[in-house]
Amino acid sequence: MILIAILRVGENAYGVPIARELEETGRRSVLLGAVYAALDRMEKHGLVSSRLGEPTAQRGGKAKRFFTVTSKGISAAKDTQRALTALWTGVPVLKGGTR
Amino acid sequence: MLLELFVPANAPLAGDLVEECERRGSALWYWRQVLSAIAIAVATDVGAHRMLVVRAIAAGWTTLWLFSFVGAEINRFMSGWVLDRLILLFWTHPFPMLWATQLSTRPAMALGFVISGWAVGRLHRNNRPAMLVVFTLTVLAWSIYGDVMRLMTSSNIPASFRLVRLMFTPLPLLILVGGFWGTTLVNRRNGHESITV
Repeated sequence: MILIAILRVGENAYGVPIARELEETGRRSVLLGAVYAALDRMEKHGLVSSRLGEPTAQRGGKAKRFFTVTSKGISAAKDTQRALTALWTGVPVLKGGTR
Repeated sequence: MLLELFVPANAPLAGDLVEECERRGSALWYWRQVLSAIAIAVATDVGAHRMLVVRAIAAGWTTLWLFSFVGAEINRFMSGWVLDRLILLFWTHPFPMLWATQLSTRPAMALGFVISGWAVGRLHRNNRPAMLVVFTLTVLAWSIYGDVMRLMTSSNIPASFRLVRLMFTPLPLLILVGGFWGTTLVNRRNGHESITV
């Protein structure tokens, strides 16, 4: 989900817009600490890369950390999509949308 | 500041929380996010360094045990010389009794916690917050268990004295004070304010 959220946010993908995207699409509150923990794990696995922006006074002098999905991340997202679609089909109760 | 201490490598997270908190205007949301970020960071670090956790607990308890010899001398001074002065000073007031039964051992305990926290912090500079939290939790659990058992077994302690004992149950939190002693200053001096990605 986080990979897709980064792709949806685009150029400006740092913690806040990623969390907002997850909250809006998932319709539940998101813990920023959990988002960063997942992003750190993904970066270790080479699925995303990050760079630091400039610190701003509006953020208490802290820099933004911008994330980009790598080509490995994009293929991982496609694999997950394929697997989910395969799982989805053939479940009669889910045909025609969820209840 | 809490985030800087417990999640030192993640300054952008602190910035995100400040930015989002201003938009939402909810202190409750902010504190929930801060405390959960600390819990997640500690849990992640503990999961990734299990042997260090064992070492931190062993080092902390060993330091506490070694300090207990010095602590016994401090306790002797507190329940001897200091108590004598308190009796002379307060005479019929119940404070000397409170000191003798509940308070005289606390200064040595407090010092022991600070020193053991400092030792664990120095030995685990790269994983300091997680190791300190785990060690503190073991001591806190021991402290709560000890206090509950003592309160249950000794029925002749007055209610006010029991309250004083309960007030000192969180004393092991001083481990964190010892463990983080000077950390912020050192980090600022070394320029660790931003993370290396």
